[in-house]
Amino acid sequence: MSLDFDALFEGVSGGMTKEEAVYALLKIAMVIDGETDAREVAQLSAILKRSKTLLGAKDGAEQVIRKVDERLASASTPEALHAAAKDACASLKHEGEEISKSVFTQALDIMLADTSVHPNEKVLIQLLSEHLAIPDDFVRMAVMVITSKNKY
Amino acid sequence: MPLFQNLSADPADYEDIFKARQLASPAPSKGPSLLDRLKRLFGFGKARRAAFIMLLFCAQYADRTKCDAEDERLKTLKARLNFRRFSPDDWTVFERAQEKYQAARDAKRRDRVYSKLFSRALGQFRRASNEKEKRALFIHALDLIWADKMIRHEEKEFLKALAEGLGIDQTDEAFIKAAIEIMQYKNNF
Repeated sequence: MSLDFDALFEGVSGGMTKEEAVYALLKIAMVIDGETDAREVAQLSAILKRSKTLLGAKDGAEQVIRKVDERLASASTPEALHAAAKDACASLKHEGEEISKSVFTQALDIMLADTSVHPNEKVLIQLLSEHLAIPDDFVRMAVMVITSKNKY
Repeated sequence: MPLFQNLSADPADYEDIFKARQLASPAPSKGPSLLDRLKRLFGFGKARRAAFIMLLFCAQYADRTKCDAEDERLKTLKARLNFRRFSPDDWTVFERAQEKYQAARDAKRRDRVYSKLFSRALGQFRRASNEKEKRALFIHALDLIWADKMIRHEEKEFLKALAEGLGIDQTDEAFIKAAIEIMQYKNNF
């Protein structure tokens, strides 16, 4: 019988693939406010359809989505979602600044799609900027641009 | 002091009141709700909405071609705008412009149709909109154009003309630079 390595490393941060980490962060951005807003759902599904990163996953995007959705299904509180986000950030950070900035911007666009910022979303924005090591100037600039865009 | 001087012009400030009213009384059988009519009255005017949509058309056809990625982005944007400020009827101007553009017999005539539509919509939007709306339009146009992960020469020219036409090229240089950087990260993904 082979060892279940997923079980052995349970609770250790950083074990997601790049694609899983990207999708997990975007999905968490969508659900963290506790509501399913049609605009946030539309925003996420549009990304899933065209993302080079997700579509290029070794086992296919469906496999990534299924695996992450299963994991997030057990995260029923904002705290659990924040913990999953930290794990995803740890998995993604070493992929480089470019992808971290891209995912941060996309996550921000999803969170601000409904034109309001829930307290849980504020915490998540802070968490992403810290754990993905996004420079403060970039965070400020991204919030300003995405907020301006989503006014209309 | 005029009676209504302190009333907010933002429809969002009245949402709770009208939601409560809608719950208390049966929904009207026909036509837009009172809340929707109020939103339209205080929000984006019809002419401004039409100009906004026409400029999105111009963004999509800036390189004189229609691509799937931009089409997909436009659908997402349309759904988002229709959620609050726009109505599906507003988009007939887009379809009419598209028909007119595609009906032109050759590239030269299509160029002429495009230029006329662009300058008319730009003039209308510049006159009727405030700075926030101009900025929002510029970012949406940029985001739409970048959906196929590239910016062609004609699209760059369009964005330049849009920024100049809206008058944000002089006052908002830092904003334009920031918008380009952020949209690049958003779309190169």
